[in-house]
Amino acid sequence: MVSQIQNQVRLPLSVALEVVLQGIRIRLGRSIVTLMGIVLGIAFLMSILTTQSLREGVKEETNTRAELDRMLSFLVVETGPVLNRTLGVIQVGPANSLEQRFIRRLQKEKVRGLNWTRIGTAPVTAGFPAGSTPQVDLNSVGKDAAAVIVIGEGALPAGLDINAVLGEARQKVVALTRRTHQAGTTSASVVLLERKPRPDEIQQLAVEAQRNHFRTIWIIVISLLVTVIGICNAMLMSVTERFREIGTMKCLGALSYFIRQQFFIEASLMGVVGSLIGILFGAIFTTIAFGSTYGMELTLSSLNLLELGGYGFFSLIAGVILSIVAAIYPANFASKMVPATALRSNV
Amino acid sequence: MTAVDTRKFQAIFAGAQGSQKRCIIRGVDIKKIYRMGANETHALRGATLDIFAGEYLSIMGPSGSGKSTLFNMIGGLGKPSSGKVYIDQVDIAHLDPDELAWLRCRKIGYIFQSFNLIQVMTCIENVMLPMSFAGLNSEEAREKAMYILKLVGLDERPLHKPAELSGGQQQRCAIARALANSPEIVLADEPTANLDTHTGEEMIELMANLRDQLGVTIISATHDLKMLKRSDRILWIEDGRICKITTPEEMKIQINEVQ
Repeated sequence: MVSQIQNQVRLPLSVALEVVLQGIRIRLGRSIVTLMGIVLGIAFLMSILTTQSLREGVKEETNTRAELDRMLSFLVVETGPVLNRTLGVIQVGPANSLEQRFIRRLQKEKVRGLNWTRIGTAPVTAGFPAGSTPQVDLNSVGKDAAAVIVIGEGALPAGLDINAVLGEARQKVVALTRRTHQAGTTSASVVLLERKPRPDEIQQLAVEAQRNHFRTIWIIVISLLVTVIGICNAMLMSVTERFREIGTMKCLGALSYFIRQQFFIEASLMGVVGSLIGILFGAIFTTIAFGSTYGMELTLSSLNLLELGGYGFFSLIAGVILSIVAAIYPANFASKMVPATALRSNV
Repeated sequence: MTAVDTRKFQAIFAGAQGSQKRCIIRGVDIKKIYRMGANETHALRGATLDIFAGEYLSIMGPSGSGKSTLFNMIGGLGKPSSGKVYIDQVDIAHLDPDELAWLRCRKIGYIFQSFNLIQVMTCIENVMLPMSFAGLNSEEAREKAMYILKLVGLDERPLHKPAELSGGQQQRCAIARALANSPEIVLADEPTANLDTHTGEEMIELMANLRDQLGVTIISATHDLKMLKRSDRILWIEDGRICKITTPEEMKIQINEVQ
């Protein structure tokens, strides 16, 4: 009788997964060390990205606040203090965030009220203006107002008689948040609140951003290399530790791919868990660090959660890919081992 | 644990039983040379042997004699530099890694000197591991593993981890694992070396009984004289060559002569 030699059965992924999970549970100490390597690497990556996001955010927020102060002071020069005064607001188009914040800023200055009207197709921005000022019609916008402020994208309608709008106003002041608003000829004093940044200022910002960009990339690459080497080293240790186990499995009929698969599954699991912990750790730690330097209020209002989420996702992907890349060498090393290793009792 | 239907499994080893003189492993002029840089080590210098189905063969030899190498060659764990090894009439030199794995999984059971149980798995999981490599689903595997654990007398502690078992119990578990896929050949590498005398005797008794019950071929490398007593044939190897093949009776005469 000549026996029929067949190809060994390929095991489903779940068997390898089970073996890996048991392995991690038993070798918890070593697994945690490997995990910490990933956590630290990804936390570092996330902290750099968060720092970058926060630094820009804080700078932007500081600039915005300075800009709002400047706009307010320009207005106040014409109107005097706005405390307990009524202001008229004509919205000619969608208001940008600066304009929205300017209106909120005025409310913070304790104006008595805002006579707010929309012209034409200006859309209603959700929750704006804050404090739900009832909308009035165009003719009563100027009623008892210390100034009428024009906001939104677009221009005042060509036929609009600004003098008529200001008829009942306490002070004949028109403030324009944009150059495009075009108050036309009027006897009232017109204040332009918009400021155009000087060209050299823009250029300097661009150069600085570029320099920051390169430095950040360099640091990220170095830190990730260190992480990969760390994980690879830890994995190699775990291969050496399991020499006899792997040899035994091969004697019992395990295929090389099954051994390799185990290491890749382990690496991916470690990658996901380690990255998630690292992302949380890095983001929270950096935010606290920024908070203690710039103040919590400023830091939290500069947080760009959407951007941070994107960075977190990027870090997660990077963590998993790096873990798998780091496992390539140890996994091949383990899978190439000859089964006879199991017979050697001194290993 | 569910009750095991022993009748269901009694036939599983029947394939191994047959004519006593069927040649299950044949080695023809096996040579093995290990190269370490410029050095060449001749571990085997031409070994020719026939091993018959259902026999209990012991391989004796001092360390460095090529005993382990011969053991690896006939166990399908390595390929010879020259010469042929036929396992069940198949030349293993022609097998690819997948087929070798299949062979190791179904035809051969291995028992190691230091047991080599997978520490992260329980006793029954260790026995089930080769079955899952053979594609058995876990229900079938669990039932069959319980039956085999009963055969080796370890059915009372199936859920213990190897570290919680005594040396003898661990080796029983390892023997059960070697029998998991009803192999025709069981290779035992100094199975009693890590056990005390009494436990060692128990293991020898167990293996001899299994051979009688199941008809498996047992090939064992050993120094243990008690083990030799139970074997059918003893193969002596020295300097990479097989110098003689004797029976225990002849051995006894020789020992008496020496005494």
